[in-house]
Amino acid sequence: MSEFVGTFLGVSYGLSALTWSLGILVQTMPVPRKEIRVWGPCLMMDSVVSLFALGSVNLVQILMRWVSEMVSQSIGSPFNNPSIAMATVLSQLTMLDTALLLLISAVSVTVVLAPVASALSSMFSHALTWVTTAIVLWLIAQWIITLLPEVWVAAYTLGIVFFAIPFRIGRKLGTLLMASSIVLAIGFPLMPFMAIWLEGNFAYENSLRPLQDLLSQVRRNPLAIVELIATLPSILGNLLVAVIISLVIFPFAYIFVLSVLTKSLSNVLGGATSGPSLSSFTIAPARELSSLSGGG
Amino acid sequence: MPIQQLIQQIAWATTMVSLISTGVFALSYGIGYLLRGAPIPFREWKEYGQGLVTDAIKSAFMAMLYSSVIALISWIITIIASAA
Repeated sequence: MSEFVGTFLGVSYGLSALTWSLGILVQTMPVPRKEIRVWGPCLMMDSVVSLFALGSVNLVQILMRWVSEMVSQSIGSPFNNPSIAMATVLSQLTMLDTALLLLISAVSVTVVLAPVASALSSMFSHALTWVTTAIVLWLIAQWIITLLPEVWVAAYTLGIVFFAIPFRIGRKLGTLLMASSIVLAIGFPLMPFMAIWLEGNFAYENSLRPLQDLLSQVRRNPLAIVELIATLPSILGNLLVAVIISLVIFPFAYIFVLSVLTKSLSNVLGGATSGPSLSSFTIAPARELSSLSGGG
Repeated sequence: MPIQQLIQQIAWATTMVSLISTGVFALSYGIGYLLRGAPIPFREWKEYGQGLVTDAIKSAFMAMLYSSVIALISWIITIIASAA
């Protein structure tokens, strides 16, 4: 992969030099057309920006490390490594999937409970589909997280190659590649941490804290065990909701947020600009010639 | 097309464009002085000639500055990286 990175850096360096030369050529051409001459300073500026992007690969790595450390510290996750967090997520989802399947199959075995089994299977079939989809999504995410450290630099430098093509031909694709590689490299490894953090918060607030309160009440007053038994189903339900929200719904929402961030960053890097505006640059001869033609 | 060949072609195109630019500087500079010195009673044409001369000098200066621009950018990036 480092071979590709070196090649892409070489190509983008050459394209930046070509863009600079073209900018000088266009600026110095004795052509009395403002819309052509305005490309001169624009091309030179694009060349400088792509040279900055070329040099910023190390800076992006530093930024990535800083953001990851900052988020990990603020979350306070007990996991140091995304693969351990991912293994926890996958084991929980697999257990949920297996529990749902076992419940339906166990009820289906008894002939007396066959109507209940059919009702349960119709109730849980959607849940099963979503949990299985979430498992597939998390497995894809795990594969991407494993590949990302090698791939993102290549994608970023390929983005710079497209960005450095003269006359802004590949600018949109280039900025999209650069933005997506940065956002994915920073955001994707944080996904399992965030899911577990969210799950911990939801589960603690809705299930574990009421359970702790009830247990302390039972220690003081043994008759409160009736209340504990009565609230146990709702506590279990809340626990299940926490797992489903943080491990099944959250990844889809997180990927959506990452795609919105990628689009915004791509626009910030210059993907939204199409060409130079005539009002932003003033070139003396063109202005004079336009007044000349206007004056007759 | 092999990548090395592509890089060589880009380098060749850059050299050609730079050479053409050098010719165009001279042409613009000449046309500019021609217009400036021509015995024509239109002030706008003379101003346009002066603009061409200015642009030719500016572009020649920018062409020489490319290596300095690269050095400046790498210096700025080194400072930012060492500060981070």
